[in-house]
Amino acid sequence: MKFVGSWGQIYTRWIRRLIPPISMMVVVLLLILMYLISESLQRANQPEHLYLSLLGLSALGILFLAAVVLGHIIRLVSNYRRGAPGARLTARLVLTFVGLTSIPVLIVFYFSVSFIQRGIDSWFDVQVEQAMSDALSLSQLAFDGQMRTAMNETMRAATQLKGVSGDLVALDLNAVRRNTGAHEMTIFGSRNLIVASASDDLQAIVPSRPDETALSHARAGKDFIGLDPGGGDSMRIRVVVPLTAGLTGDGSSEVLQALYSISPRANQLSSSVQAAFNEYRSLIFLHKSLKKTFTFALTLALLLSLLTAVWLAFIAARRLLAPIRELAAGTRAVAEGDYSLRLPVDRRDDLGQLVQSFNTMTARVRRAHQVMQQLQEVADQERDYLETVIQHLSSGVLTLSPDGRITRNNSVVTQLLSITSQHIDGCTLTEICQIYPHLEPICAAFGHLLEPGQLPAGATVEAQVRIMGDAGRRILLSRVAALPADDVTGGFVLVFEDVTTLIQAQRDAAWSEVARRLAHEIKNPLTPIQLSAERLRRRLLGNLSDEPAQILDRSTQTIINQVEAMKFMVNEFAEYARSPQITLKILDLDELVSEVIDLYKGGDIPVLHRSVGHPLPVRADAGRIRQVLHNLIRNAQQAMTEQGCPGSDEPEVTLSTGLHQEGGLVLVELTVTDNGTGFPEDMIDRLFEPYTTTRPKGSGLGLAIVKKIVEEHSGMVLASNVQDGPVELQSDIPARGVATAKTGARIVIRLPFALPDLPMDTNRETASPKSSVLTGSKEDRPETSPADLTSRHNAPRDLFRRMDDTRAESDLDHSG
Amino acid sequence: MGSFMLCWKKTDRAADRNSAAASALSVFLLLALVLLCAQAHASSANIQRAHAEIREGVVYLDVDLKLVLDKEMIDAMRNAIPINLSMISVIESPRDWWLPNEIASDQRRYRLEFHALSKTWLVTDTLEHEARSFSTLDGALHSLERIRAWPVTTAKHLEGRGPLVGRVRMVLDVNKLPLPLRFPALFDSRWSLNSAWFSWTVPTVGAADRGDDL
Ligand SMILES: Nc1ncnc2c1ncn2[C@@H]1O[C@H](COP(=O)(O)OP(=O)(O)O)[C@@H](O)[C@H]1O
Ligand SMILES: [Mg+2]
Repeated sequence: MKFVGSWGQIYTRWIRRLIPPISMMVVVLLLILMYLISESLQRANQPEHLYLSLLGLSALGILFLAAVVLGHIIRLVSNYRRGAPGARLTARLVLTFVGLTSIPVLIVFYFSVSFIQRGIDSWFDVQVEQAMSDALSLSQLAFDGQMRTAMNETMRAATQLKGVSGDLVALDLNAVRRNTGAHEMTIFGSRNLIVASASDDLQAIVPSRPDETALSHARAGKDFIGLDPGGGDSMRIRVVVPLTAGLTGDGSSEVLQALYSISPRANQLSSSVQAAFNEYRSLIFLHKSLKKTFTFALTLALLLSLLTAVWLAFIAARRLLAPIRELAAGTRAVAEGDYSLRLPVDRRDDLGQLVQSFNTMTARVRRAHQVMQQLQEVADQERDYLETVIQHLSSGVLTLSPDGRITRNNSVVTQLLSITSQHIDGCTLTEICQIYPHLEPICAAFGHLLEPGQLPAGATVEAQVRIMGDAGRRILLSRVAALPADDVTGGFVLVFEDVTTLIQAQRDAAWSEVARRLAHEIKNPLTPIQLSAERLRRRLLGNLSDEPAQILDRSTQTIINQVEAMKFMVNEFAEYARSPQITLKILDLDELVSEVIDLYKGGDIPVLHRSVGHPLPVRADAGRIRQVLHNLIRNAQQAMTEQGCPGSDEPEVTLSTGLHQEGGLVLVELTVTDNGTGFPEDMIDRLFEPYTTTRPKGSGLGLAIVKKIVEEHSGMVLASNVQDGPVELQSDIPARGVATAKTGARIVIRLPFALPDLPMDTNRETASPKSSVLTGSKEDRPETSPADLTSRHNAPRDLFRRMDDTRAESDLDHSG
Repeated sequence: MGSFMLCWKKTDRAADRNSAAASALSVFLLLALVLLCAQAHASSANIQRAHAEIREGVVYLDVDLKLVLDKEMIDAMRNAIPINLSMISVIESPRDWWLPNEIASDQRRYRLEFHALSKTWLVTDTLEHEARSFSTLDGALHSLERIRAWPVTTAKHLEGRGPLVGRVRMVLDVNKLPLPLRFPALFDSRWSLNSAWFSWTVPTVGAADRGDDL
């Protein structure tokens, strides 16, 4: 296969390129050969084989030309059938050229041939022919008398020799010969053996022999006389007579032959007559062949000129049509979308101009195409960008074609509707609802709108739809919009937004309002109830006897206690459901903690304060923070009094304040730790949810309030259990350095570090961290070294300035 | 036949190029056949016997052949066109895988013509310049058909050459014909007087045949 390919290449590269010059050479050679042949026809003596080799060479040349022309024709025919560009035009051009050249050539051929035929015929004349044969007969007649005398002489000699016996004949023969004047005389015996011979010419050793006819004539008793051409120009008269008459037919009889010379003059004349006769006769005989030969030569010339004409016609057509073919190929390429083609402009004529303008045209088209492609690319990029945007929207998006089939969706919509995107592509909404029955509410809401003409272009219809998905009930805010009809695609856009949490929050807000009102309404009558009970008790207790007094005492006490508990509970309710209005001021958290701790001095369970020793400014509502601290301290005290301390240590609550650095962000940190049993493991995930409690009288709102307040201060709260002593050792504030209990609950609160010169947006809602629990304390280990902290302690202003820088930097990140 | 036509039509386009060549070839073959057939009743030369023997150190060859002349040829002779014939004898030693090595070759040339004045047929040995006249063509041909004691080469020349093969043939000397006849003589069977090569056994050279004593 490879070889064939390379051979094909060699063929197209070299042989096709070489054929034209070779053909040209062949034509020239053939012309020379023609000339040589015509020369050799005229010349009489030429070297041997010249004519033949010339003929063979020209035949070969013509065959070669014929093959070349045949190849051209075959290619043209196949091109014509295939409808190759330029084939028709080539055919027409070649036919025209061939017609133009062959018609005159054929006319000349025809007239030449007829002229030759007639010209050669006109050489001959019947009269001349007759005269020629007459001349020959005349010269034959001229020898007649001489022959008759020669006959008589020989007959005489024969009678003379008849009686002579064998041996003497030889002696007598020469004398007899001289008498008769014969040139040579020979006697042939039986079996044609020479008996005796006498000759004028002494040089001649072997006597001339008569031919069989003459001998048999003589033996039959007849005389033979005839002219003998001999060798060369010397004609002789040969007479053969039987020597022994009467003994005919026995074969043993002897025969006498006599040869008589003819006078040189007669010889010369007769031979010249014969030469002329021969010449004329041969001419007559050859004239047909001569005509044939001339016609053949002419045909050869005709063939040569015709073949050359056809071949040149092909060459000329090819040269003439080359630019047209290129143009056709170029046009086809352009039609197929290849605009990179540039045709070579190598001529200055009209075709060259055409090629030039073709090139200009393709260049223009190419440029236009490039621009188009660029535009297409831009559009593609835009579409991709849009696609990306849609994919990253927090809302679910479905686009529909005008006939209601889904053309595009994003990942959020599949997640929201709990569907698979493969199932919905190309489906209508109704079909989807058949596949996914849980989406029926969506169809019910929008199905009828997607009918053509139902929704005017640009109009939007909104609805809240509840569906049951994988993750439980979902409330979707769904919007359908009809795209403008003049748009390329038209159709609809469906947008889904998950508003479940939003609705929940709204409901929560509403409920807390209700709770607050309720608490207010309940709290109002509680004080009069309590006061009334106390008054009853004060007034009646002393006046009553023992038993009723006891009853009264117990009852009023119960009332007072229960009202107290109720008050507390209602307060907590009110606190939780309170409207989120806080007044923020910059205050020192350290100082606030110390103030609160002072209230617990002298209590059963000591409350310790560990401080870094320098002010920790936070923007906070002091009362709220106080409430947080009270809640946490009280929780710890309650837990330790109710469940005790697992270790041998005395129960204590520790409040640590300090700084926490996290990713360039500096936060004020407050940690409340106790050494009780810690939070119950099964509750640790939902400690901050309302109504989570283990205490029989507990409301479960304490930590919920803590969380709420901290979040109102843009802070975060984390709960964890103290795991181990060593962990505690490595914890936040190394200054403590004291090994504490192995168990205990720990609440960490982190608040933003307040800067006096920075305006604080009070209503900023800080997202609560998703993980409410921080197990282990490795993450919140401060990256600041103790030395660092000491220097901060010594130079608080410096610290503030440095913190300011970090804060400013990180604030940019944070807000971004 | 119908199916054949169908198939033929189907392959028509594919075999289109070949068919042109095929038709050309068939025309050529037809022409060759016609020429061959024409040759059957035309001039011919057939060597029937060739025998060589060594006498006195010379290899003599005797050849018998049969000559048949076409009327056209006789006509040409009667119209004063001589006919030249060559008898070619070659002795060669055959070689494997190669053309045989030519050891010796000899030619005899004859001219056969009609003498218009004496109305005789002349046979001339053109190399020996020896002419004989015959009153009939048959006599003349007869003399040509019997070649006797043709000294081909000397026995000495053949000594120690291994096995040898002799060949002999009769050839019409086309180049001696008048020009207009040469071309037809090449292709016309009436003028084909060339015989095939005839092999003859070269006699082995004995000590007595060396001819040293001569
Ligand atoms: N310091 C603590 N040690 C152990 N358990 C605690 C601690 N603080 C709170 N808890 C647990 O968390 C639960 C929720 O507390 P809280 O939200 O204050 O509600 P309440 O005090 O009304 O029960 C409590 O019931 C208790 O089991
Ligand atoms: Mg509590």
